[in-house]
Order: sequence, then structure tokens, then C-alpha cells
Amino acid sequence: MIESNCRLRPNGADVAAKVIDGEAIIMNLANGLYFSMDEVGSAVWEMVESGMALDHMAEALQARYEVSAETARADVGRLAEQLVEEGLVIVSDDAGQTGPSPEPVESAGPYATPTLTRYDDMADLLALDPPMPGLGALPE
Amino acid sequence: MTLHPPARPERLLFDLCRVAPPRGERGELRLSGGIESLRRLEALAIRHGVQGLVYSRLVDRLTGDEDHAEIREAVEAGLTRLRRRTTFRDMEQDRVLRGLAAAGIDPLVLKGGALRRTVFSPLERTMGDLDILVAPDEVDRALETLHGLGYRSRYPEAARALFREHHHEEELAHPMGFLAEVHWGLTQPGSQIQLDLDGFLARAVRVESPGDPPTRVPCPEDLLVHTVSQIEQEAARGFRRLVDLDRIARTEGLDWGAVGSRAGEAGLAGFLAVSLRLSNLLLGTEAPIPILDGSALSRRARRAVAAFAPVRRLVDDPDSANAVEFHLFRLWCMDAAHRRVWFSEALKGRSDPLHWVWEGHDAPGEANPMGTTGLLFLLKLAVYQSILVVTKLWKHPGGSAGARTGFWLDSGPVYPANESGSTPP
Repeated sequence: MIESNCRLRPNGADVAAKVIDGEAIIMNLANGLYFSMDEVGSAVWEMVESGMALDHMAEALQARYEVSAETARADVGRLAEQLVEEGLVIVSDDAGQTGPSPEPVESAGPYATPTLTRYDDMADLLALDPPMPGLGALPE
Repeated sequence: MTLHPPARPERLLFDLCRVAPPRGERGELRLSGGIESLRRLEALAIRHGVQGLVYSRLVDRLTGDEDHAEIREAVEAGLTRLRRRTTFRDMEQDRVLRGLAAAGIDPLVLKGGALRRTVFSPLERTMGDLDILVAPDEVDRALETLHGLGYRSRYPEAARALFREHHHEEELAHPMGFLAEVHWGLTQPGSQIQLDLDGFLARAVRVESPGDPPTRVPCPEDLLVHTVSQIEQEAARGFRRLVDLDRIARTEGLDWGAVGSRAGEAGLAGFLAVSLRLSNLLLGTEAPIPILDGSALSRRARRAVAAFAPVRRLVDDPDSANAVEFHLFRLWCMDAAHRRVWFSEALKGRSDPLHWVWEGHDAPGEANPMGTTGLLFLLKLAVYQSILVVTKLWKHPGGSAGARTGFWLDSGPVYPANESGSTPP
């Protein structure tokens, strides 16, 4: 269980991430696994990158979405556990530092439980980019 | 303004892939067939490899009315999947390039990987695999690096050896599903078409975009000629390559003189003309008239190419293609000297050493060579050609088989003059 006043940080050179149009795409360079997080998850990822403590993240979610404090805290805690488990973040060792406080933001619409999707095999997804017909496959 | 869908979904596909839609069709788009019409268009876009471009355009042009809510939702969902896939690919490309850079290798990125960082946005240009070109003395180190990144050869050792010898390439796959091809030649050693590897490497340029590592790609003229070489390999049956060609041809300051001379030296002058004319007709690509008019080909070859109805064969289902038609079309696009060499090789009956790989076998002994050489195959070519001539005579009984070419400039204006919305042939 990660303490709510802890901060997380991306796992250094082993992780590459991009947030594009509300979706976070994260790659564990050490094992080549890819992950994605939806809109709320990507907001959490940006907070991780900014060095915010977990309890501040929950407050920020509560301010941005229609979600209770209890749900926000539980979701952030669970997501943090998953991110640590997958080696995407590490718990920051600078105890006592809570990082930036959440800034007031406009409401971002309905809340959905943040989820971390792991891709073990993307062959089906990537197969949607088909190669062009080649010489070899033609019938006589 | 509302645009009603054309009778054929292909026309809509071509329109959506143009840099600018035809005059009078620049407004919102209405898909009157509902979600079913979107699914048909989607399938067509996937078949032609232009789904990224089509999704991006659809989301901009679909009307905002309630009838379109379901379609818009489906397009946005498709765009989200595509964005995810594109980002995965970009990150993987960066990982591979960083790995190679750490090994002291600075490869040239070819095809889709280069195009999406030069003339397209990544979302618009999908790609099936990452193609990289390295100098011959870097091949072993490059392969070792890719193995270190988790890639493994796609084929058994017997096929690998043949790929190395006859294609100057190694194809690799990552367990996650990514594919990569390491090339140390641009064309097959025995091919009629030969691109200048040293020239490509020497003229390469480096492109930089925020968040991505600098990527070394061919200069625009070489990118264009290399795209034409891909079109040659596919016998001009792939629409995606024409879109590539169109976007490269629009590069500011493109040196058409260099394009023409390099294509000529490579043996691609005929294919350059055919490809650009196709792209001109379907996408409005502008190019110098001496290229578009097909004067690189003999009058006979121009008539023969036109008899294939190049636009129609591009639209036809690729499953309808056959080896005879495929080779015959390529032959007519070659210059006379290359054609003679091809015939002489074919007469010797040399079969493709990789035929068993193309046919999906694990070992050479399990398959018979594809009959695309030898006297019998040449006879098939002759029969097919005769059918083409007879069909043409049937359609134009008043004149010789090639009296009306039906494809080249003398059959109609170049596209910009045709922009009033008339249907491409």
C-alpha cells in the first residue's frame, strides 16, 4: 500500500510516455510492453510527471470531475499500485515533500474510473495497417 | 455546403485523399447510407492503406447534424484506435533508432517511417513495418542491435540466406507484433531496376520534430524515385503509394530535373510517367508535362499501358490480380533495353528462389516453383496481350487498337484543368 502523501515519478530511462488527445501511451523500455490510459488516467499521469503527491492528485480529480473524495482517493491509490507493479513509476524517496498543489481547473466532464490497459501482444491491433499487395502472393 | 456521396465509394475515397477536394466540394460531407456506408468506406480505406488519411478528413468534414451523430461517433472511435496505434509505432520507431544510435549506427529510414515525418502527419500515414537502410558494413551490428531489442528473424535460416542474397534485406518481428526490415540495398541485386545506394546515403537529410529523435531520411527527390520503385514492384496496383507520390511531388523546391534523371538511370522513367499520370488523374498531382505525357515510353508502349485501363485496375479488388497481368503491365512500363533483358532471363526459365516463402511453405522442397518464367509463361503473356488488343478493337472498331490511348494527356486535360468536379476516368 502506497501512502497517500507519497509522490511517484516515472521510472527514469526505462519509461517513455506521450499524452496525446487525452490518452496516455506509456512504454516500458526494459521489457518492451506498451500501456495506455484513458482521459482520467492520462490526467493522473501528467500529475505523476509534475511530481504531485497522491492525496493532491485525488483533490485535483475531485476538482476537475464530478467524483467523491473517497472514490478519487481509492482510484488514485489503486492506479498508483498498478503503475508501480508494472515498473512504470517508482515511489519518490524524498519523504515529506508533497510536490505542487492542485491548481484550480475547469470541470472536464463526466468521471470514469481511470484504467491502465496493458498490451501483451499488439499483432491484431497493428495488423490493421496492412502491407501492400506484393509480387509473391499473386496467383498465376 | 453538402456533398452527396458519389456513386462509387472509390470516388469518395480518392476525393478524401486529395490535398484539396475538387472545386464545389469543399464543404461538409454527408454520408447518406448511414453507418453502413461508413463501414464500406472504412473497408475500402483499409484495403488501400489510407485509413489514417480518411479518418482525419472525415472527422473534419462530416456534418454536425443529428443524423450523423452515430457516424461521427464511429469515426472518432476509429481515430482514437488509430492514434493509439500510431503512437505505439512512433515510440517503437524511436526505441529502435535510439538503440541503433547507441550502437553507432545512423540508419536511413525509408517508406512509411520517412513519409510520416516529412510529408504527412503521423496519423495520416499508417505503416506496416519499419524499413531502415544501413551501409553494407553495418548490417551485422544493426541486426545484433535489433536482436538485443527483442526482434527475431521472421523466416527460417534457409529463407534468411536467400533474402540476404537476393533481396539484400532481413525481415524481423518483435513478439509484441512490430515488424522491421533491415535493408542494405534499395533494389534486388538481379532486378532490372537499380537505385544508387551510395547516392541515396550521401544525399540523405535529417528531419527533426518536437519530441522525436532526429531521423535520417532520403532527400525528397530520392524519396520520390524510391516510391516509384515501390509502385513498380506492385505494378501500380496500390493507391497508397500514389498518395505518397502526390505529397512528395508537392515538396517546395523539388528538383524535377534530378527526379527525371535519377528515375531514368534506375530504369524507372516509364513507371515515373505512369505513376505520376495516375496520381495526376486521381489526386490532382502537378508535374512537368514532359513526364506526365509519357514520352519516356514508346508510342506502342503508351498504347499498351493505356489498354490496361490503369485507373480501373487500381480500383479493382487486388484479389483479382494475377501474375500474367502483373508482369505484362510492368513489362510495358520498362524501357526497351530492360524489357529485352527481362525476356532473355525469362526464357532461361529462372524461377524466383523465394517462391516457397511467398507460397507460405517452411522449406524449399515443399513447393513447386511458381510458373512466372519459361516458354509457357511467355506464351501466357502473349495470349493475355492478344486479348487486350482484341478487347480494345472491339470497343473502338473504327480505329487501330491504340488510336485512342484513353489514359495519357491526349485523352484529356491534366487534373487541375479538370477540377470542376468531373469524374476521373
